[in-house]
Amino acid sequence: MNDNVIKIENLVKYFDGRCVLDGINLTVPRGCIYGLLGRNGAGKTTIIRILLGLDFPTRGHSFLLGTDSAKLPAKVHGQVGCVAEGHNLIQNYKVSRLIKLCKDLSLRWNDDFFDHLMEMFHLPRERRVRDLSMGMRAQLNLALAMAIDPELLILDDPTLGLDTTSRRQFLELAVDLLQKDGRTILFCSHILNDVERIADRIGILAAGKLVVDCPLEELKKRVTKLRLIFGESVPTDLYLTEIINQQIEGRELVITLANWNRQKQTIIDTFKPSSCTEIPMSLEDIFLECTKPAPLATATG
Amino acid sequence: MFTLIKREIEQNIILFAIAALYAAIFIGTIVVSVIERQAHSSSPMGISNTMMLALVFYLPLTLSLLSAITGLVQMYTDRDKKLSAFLSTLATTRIHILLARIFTGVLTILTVLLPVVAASAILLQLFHPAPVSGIYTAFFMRVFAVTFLLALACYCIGLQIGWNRGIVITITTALFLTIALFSLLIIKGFGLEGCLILAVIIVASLARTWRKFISTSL
Repeated sequence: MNDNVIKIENLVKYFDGRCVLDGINLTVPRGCIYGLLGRNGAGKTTIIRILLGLDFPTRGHSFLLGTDSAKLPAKVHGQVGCVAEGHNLIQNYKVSRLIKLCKDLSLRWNDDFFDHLMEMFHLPRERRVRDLSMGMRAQLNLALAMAIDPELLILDDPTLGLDTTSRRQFLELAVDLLQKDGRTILFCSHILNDVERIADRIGILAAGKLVVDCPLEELKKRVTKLRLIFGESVPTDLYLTEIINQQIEGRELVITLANWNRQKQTIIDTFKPSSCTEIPMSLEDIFLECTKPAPLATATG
Repeated sequence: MFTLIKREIEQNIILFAIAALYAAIFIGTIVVSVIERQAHSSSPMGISNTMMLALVFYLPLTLSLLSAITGLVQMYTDRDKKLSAFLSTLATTRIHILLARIFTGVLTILTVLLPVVAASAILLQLFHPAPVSGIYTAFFMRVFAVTFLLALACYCIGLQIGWNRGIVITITTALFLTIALFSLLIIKGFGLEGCLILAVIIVASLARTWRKFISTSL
């Protein structure tokens, strides 16, 4: 059995002559919760659409559960739960009718679990989907995606529109149920706290490239932000590689570096800064640094 | 597949209702015309002008328009409401979705055509002696076969055009092509040549729709 649930090879996508994805390579192993981050328009949804066979790449290939995304059979679709951005359900259907359709078009359906979710989210079955609030649509979409007992759950901003309690409830539920059985989750979100809470591997998209692709803990270790204060002025010949961002203000240099190591520490030490302080970084800070339009570096592992 | 067909039928239930209603009105009209003719004519030969006109002119014209609208509505609704984008995330494929759609479209055509064929056959048997009914049965079978092909061709054109975004241009183009195909029938008649041309149009249009639907972004 293929251990990579998702495999993307040199994926390139142009929209009207504009390059949205520029040679993306990505693998998500079985059992992994992968958090894919990026600013609006970075290409997260495009990657998901290509993976699901809803869109086609300009170049490159993507594979879901070992099958080419462009030719996914019903059997593979049936093993992938999907919560799309905007919760694109059939709006004029009653909830009960939509549930029946999804159930009839599924390979597996966990009635008990689905009913439990419907009760937990307090979702009315007799209302039309278009009459549900954004949050309720999100919950319905999540419940439908999880009821099929998916091998892979693809979540494109799933918690958008959910209140804090429902968001936390869902995330805990998703992690508990899916990770227990070695299921895989690809999770895109703007809410970095959510990603930080559940993801074990992080990818950051910026300018069409995957600038970060490594385990969350490793990312936190590898990306370092330093505040350096020099005696007179910031040296101009401080040549460091893999600078994510830097800001000079008088004698002070605030620099964010990828793949921080002893060698880089030694280079900095040779310039004898009067003070060198490490600034602690949350995932949000790392994300902001990586997606700033500045010199890009990669932190891969 | 059955679920998808059921969904398509439910989605287009109004079109089926219109088709059934139209078939009922059409049959009613030809029944009345045949009865009237029997009451007022002493000759057993020939059939009523109304029936003839209805079957060789009004039926092909109206059925082709209804079929084009069916194809157009199916595809336009899909694109507008992103139905296939949602369905494609379930345990199905685009091929299944399109096959279910085409099957439903053909069913709409048959909802009109089959009752009319049955009613015409019964009327011919009931009100006309054997040699007359024999001649007309052969003729009407050809008319119905060509009408079916014409309706199917218009349906396929509706499917193909319905995927476009602009509603006005979509309807105008579908209407224009339907009239053009109907004119072809007027010129070529109900012969083999007309059948072949319609068959080519059906295959080409279906192939184009197929290719577009399979390769387009949903």
